Parts: sequence; structure tokens; C-alpha cells
Amino acid sequence: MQIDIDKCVGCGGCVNLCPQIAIHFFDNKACIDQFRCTECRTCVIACGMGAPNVSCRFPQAIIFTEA
Amino acid sequence: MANQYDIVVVGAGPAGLMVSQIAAKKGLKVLLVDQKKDIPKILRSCCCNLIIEPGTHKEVVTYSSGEIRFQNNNFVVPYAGSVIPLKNSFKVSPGGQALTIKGKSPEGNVAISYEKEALVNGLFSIVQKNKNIEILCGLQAVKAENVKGGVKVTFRDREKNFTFEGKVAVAADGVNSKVVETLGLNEKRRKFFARFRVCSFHMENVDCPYPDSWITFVGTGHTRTKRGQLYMCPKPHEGITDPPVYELTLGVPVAATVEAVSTRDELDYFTTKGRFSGWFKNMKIVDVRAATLNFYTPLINPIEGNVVVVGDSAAFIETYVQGAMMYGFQAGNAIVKYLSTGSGLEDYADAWKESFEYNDPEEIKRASQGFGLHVLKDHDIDYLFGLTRGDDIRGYVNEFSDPITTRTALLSHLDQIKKERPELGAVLEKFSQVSVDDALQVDSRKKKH
Repeated sequence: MQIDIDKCVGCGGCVNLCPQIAIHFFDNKACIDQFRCTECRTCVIACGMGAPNVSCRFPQAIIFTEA
Repeated sequence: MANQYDIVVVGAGPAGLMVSQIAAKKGLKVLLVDQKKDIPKILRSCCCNLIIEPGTHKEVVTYSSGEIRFQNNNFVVPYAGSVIPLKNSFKVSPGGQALTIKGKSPEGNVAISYEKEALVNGLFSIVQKNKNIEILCGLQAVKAENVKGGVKVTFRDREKNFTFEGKVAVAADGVNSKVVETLGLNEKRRKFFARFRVCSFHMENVDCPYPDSWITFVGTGHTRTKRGQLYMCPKPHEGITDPPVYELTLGVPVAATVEAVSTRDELDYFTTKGRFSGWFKNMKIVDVRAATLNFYTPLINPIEGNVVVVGDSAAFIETYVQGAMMYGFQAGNAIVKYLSTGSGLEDYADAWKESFEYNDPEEIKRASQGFGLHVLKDHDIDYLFGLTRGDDIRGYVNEFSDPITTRTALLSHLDQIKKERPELGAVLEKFSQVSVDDALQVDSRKKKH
């Protein structure tokens, strides 16, 4: 998961509800620690702004593997 | 291991700031921790007003010249911001009919609108000046454990964990309290109802036909998804009250069976294409806030070992901001007594149990029925509100008394309703049988955390 910071208003709903405690505040916006996130989608369900989105977490690693 | 602190307070909102202030004034060593870097900055939705109805939380709260006074608990909180006294509470049906509740206070107010940021700023500056309080920002609570002689609270920043010990820990980390969750109290002592998403727009240049008022948009016809509850009221914004900034708030339940709606999209729809979009033709959004909260029944016993749960962390929805300060005040005093005499925490627990209305399950039912007027059809609400035109209804903005005020106003026309719309009359007579789940629009078969 990643947070679209243009959509995030920094309410902290996902920060408090994330079961992995993988989300913290950074500059008053939510920020997801990619190494703790398990893609459980709790933040997606929590957010009314549509800020969290599923995006490839390690694109470079995958490009490397595919190559 | 020696305790590092007398009290570790998790969360620097109205409740946590109040506990810290009271305890530190009596010489206790306090650690106050918040997950935000900017403690007084309010990022969450909070459509809260000062509830002035005497008896709310068994307290009488008044505002005058820069002070919020709590008469029964006998303390004052400074408030340096501006206020807007609200004169009426309008409930507006989808068809544009309004049920009008006029202010019952001696000044003719239903509530007083204030700026939460200014209030929290005032509390925070008191806390900052006290040398007994150490403040740490940007640390998230991970868990709290009762250990021999105190409580161990673990926090985390981006890189690593930090553990602090206090003789007592205070969970003031709000409606989605991590401390309450990690102590297992959500499982053991509470019932889960639903998750709600909330979004607020703060807007300039709103052409509101109901100035100085609390407005509730009742019925399902206000949103595309036919779900949720909308409120609007003027708020002071950075000290300015004229022209006011209007705060429009939408709360929508997130049900497992329904595609979750974007609350922001719904507010965009309401202000640009909804029936009342004319009010918002010239508006400019100055702020967007949001919140997500889990509705649990309250923690009737707010003490677990040496952890004291204060404010929204223990509540059903919320204690209002004033309730958070009042219970923070009571908890602070109880902790001071406990640390000097070995007993006293139960003073706070008893006061909480007695005074927080939702600790009585019947109150949850009553309030959610008022909230759940939308189990009625929109055209019925239009008809019912139309009947009340010209009635002299008096009351307050207060979720505990408002459902009764509204229902009494509608039922005063019951004879006419039964004559003109016998089926609707029957529904109204059975309104007290609406379940909490129905009123909160929870799909009780498939609800999930």
C-alpha cells in the first residue's frame, strides 16, 4: 500500500487502525512503512478519501527479476 | 526497576492535556506522548460544539469572557478563541421542510460553536510551561502492559521502539485507542457496532438560509448512496466569526456488504449537485478534514490494573470535547490521590460510570433512534417536518436530549398523523422498537471489524 499524499488529509484514521502499526504521521500526512505493511487493506477500508492505493512496493526488484 | 515517571499519558488531546496539567500541578512527574508532531494542530473532523444543556455528563458547562466553566466539578478552562452562539437547531428534510428547535438556554442558545484548535492550544500552552511534564511528539503507542509496580508502555517512531514505565498510565489516545485495544479491553468489555467514515468541509461564502444555527440534514435523499448523516454549522476560523466559515460534516457507516463510499466524493456531490447545492454556489473550501472511527459500547469500567482510560478512548462515539476535559480533570485528581494514599482510582471509575450517559444501554438505544430518523421514508419526513411549522419547540443541541425533543414534537401531531397517514402513525408509535443496528444502518448479519 502507498498513500497518495494529495488525497490524504492527515486524519490519522488509518494510523490508529492499522493492525501492523505500519502507518505513521509524516508532515501531518499518513506514511506507510513498506517493510511492515502486509497489504491487509484495513487502511483502504478505513479511508474515506481514497488515499491508500495498492501499488507495487518494490518495482525495481521486480524489474531486476524480470530482466 | 524503578519507575521513570509517575504517570505516562498517551495522547495529548483535551483529555490527556487535562490529566497532565492536574497531575503536574500536584508535583507528579508526567510523561506526555503524542503521535503527531504538531500537538495543537487539529487534523481530524470534530463537529463538536459546547453543549450548554445543564446536566450533560452530570455537569453544567457555561462560557463567558474567555473561560469555560465547569460548575459542579468547580474548575475553569481558558479559551482564548472566538465563539458563535447558535440560536436554533434546524432539521432539514430532503424536500426542504424544516423542524425548528429554538434555544432553551436563558440567552436563547441551543449550543455554542467554538474553535477546537484554540482550545487545545490554550491547554497545551499550560502544559508546556509546567516543568514536571516532559512532552514527546511523533511517537505512536504500540502497547501497554501492567507490570509489577506500574505500567510499561511501548512506543515506536519510524525506526525503533521506546519503552517507558509509569506507576500509572493514562489511555487518552482517542476513539481508536491502541492502548485499550492492546490491553484486550475491546474484546473483553465492549460490543462492536460499526465503523464510520467521517469527512468535513470548512467553507467560506456559504449562502446559508439558516444563520447562527446547527443544521441536521435528515433523511436518505441527501446523498447518492442513501446512507449517512449530514450536519452543518458556522465555526470561528482562526478567530474570525463574521463572515463565518461553515463546517459541513458527513458520517457514513462502512458495511461489509456495501461498496464503501468516498465521503469526500459524497460531500462534493452534496455541495455541487445536491438539492441544496444553491447554498454552495460561491463557496470556497478552506479546509478538508476526515476521521474514521469504530463504534464500540463504552468501557463501563475504565480501569485495568494501573491503566486509566479517559475521554473518547472509553466512550461510545465521543464524550464531546468538554467531557474529555471533565473526565481528564477527574482522572487526574483520582490518580493524584491514588499515588499519595494507595487508593482513589475508583473515585474516577465511579464518577465515569454514573455520569457518562451511554453507560446505560438504554441511552444508546434512545440516541441511535434519534440519529436513525432515516428509517422513515423521505416523503414521510417531509410530511412530518411540515406539520411542525409554526410550533414553538425548545431544546438544545445534545445527542442525549435531542431525540426526545424531536420525537415529542412529532408525536404532538399524532392524532392528525393517524387520521391522515395511519401507516406512518403506526410506525411512529413503534419507533421505540427500532434496534440500534437498524438505526446505525449496520448490516447485523455480516458486520465485521
